[in-house]
Amino acid sequence: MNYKKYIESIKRDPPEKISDQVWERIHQTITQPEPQKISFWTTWFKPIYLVPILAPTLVIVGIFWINYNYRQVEYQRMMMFSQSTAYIYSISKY
Amino acid sequence: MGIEIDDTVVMRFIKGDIDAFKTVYEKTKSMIFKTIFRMVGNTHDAEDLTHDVYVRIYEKRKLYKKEKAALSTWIYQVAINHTLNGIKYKKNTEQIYFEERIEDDFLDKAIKKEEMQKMITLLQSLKAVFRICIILKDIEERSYTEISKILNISTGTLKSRLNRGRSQLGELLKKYEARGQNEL
Repeated sequence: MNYKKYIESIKRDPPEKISDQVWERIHQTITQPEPQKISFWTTWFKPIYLVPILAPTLVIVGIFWINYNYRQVEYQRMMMFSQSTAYIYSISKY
Repeated sequence: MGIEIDDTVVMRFIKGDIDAFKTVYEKTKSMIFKTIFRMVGNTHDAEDLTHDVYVRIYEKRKLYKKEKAALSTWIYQVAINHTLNGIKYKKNTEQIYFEERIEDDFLDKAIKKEEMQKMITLLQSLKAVFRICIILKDIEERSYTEISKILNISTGTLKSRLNRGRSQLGELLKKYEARGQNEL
């Protein structure tokens, strides 16, 4: 059989018919609901991840807060002292 | 391509209308199935690939550019690329299988099958890139420009592939003929 005859024989015989079930399968595939997409935040963000970030922050903030309060008290004490000293000094003039 | 699809149907299809998609499917299925069948050589795989191709077409419908090509051409491009990829995916096992078939029992098997199946199986022995060129040019009688557009290759490459494919197929036919005569 030469090439031309071969090609003619393929052309002459049509391939088998496509089954009707193919469309049903296509239809089923394209109409089925898409699987729920997993978002970036739900994958990578979990509240527990906040612990190593927040814990040292809270500690640092706490230190500053305590320090500030301590200084406030110190300042008030100093002021009270200086005021009383000033008063004593002022009356000692007379 | 010879397949006319109404503009309104195309627009509806792009918007995702299933009925319009069915119309497109009904108009193009035969053309796509024939080519895929000739590429893979059996109904089961051809139907599976046709299913995958149409699902892909539906999913990627928004990528279709009306001004670039007709919808049927675009569908054809998707179908051929998908089929070639599918064949490439199986390449390792398939290639060895084909080579063995050509050398050893392929011709014996082919003689036992019906004539059409023999012919199709013979075509399967060619490399996918040559096979598609022969199917599109010699069997489906499309023009060089059309094929180069579908396959996204230059006319020169197409002609060279066609030439190599034809000569390889010619050799296979000679082998087939010789084996047949020896057996008779």
